[in-house]
Amino acid sequence: MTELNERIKRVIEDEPVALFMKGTPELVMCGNSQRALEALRRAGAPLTTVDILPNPAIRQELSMLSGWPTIPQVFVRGELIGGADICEELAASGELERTLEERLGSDYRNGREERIVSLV
Amino acid sequence: MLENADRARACQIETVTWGVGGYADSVERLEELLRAAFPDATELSVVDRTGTGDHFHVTVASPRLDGLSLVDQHRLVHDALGPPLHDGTIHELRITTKGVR
Repeated sequence: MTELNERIKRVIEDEPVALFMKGTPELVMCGNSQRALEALRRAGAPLTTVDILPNPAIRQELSMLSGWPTIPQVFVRGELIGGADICEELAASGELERTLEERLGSDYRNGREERIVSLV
Repeated sequence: MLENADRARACQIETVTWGVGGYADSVERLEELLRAAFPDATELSVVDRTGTGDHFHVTVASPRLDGLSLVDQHRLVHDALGPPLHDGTIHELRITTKGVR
């Protein structure tokens, strides 16, 4: 197992909500990453973001781990929730907030600041 | 602010590797792959969102999707579209899935 693979796994497993995206919340590089970011923010998710653009290997390793071919990818407590379309759909139906409550506890909107993890 | 072209490049899934045929052919190819995977689909469409044969919105309603989570529904669509997802035909893919129950 490569070191990068382990670091990606650690983010997925350790962070309450992990968003693998193109760019950073400050400088989003793709409309789909933007859609996922906005849906998660609207739901008040305690976000950790990872920019996959600096190294193509991040994306390759991530997709091998998740079996999901596209970016963004959202994980809650280690489980893949989906990409931008699913985030928006779940947010619109209120199910995203229910899922966050179920998995993170009803106080998941605890004002924790967004965190950025670099894998470079 | 980023130029649209920069964003479009960043959104690309893989390097472009055009096969023969025009844009309409890629819509047809995607439809064929989806029909093969969801032969009893009650709704199936492929929209070329940008008119450039590489940004698609696919919609599938099928009994095969009944009772599955959205993640698992989308996984079945990814599986059906494996070749164009991995050969660079598809730069961006939006998916809408529904069961029929």
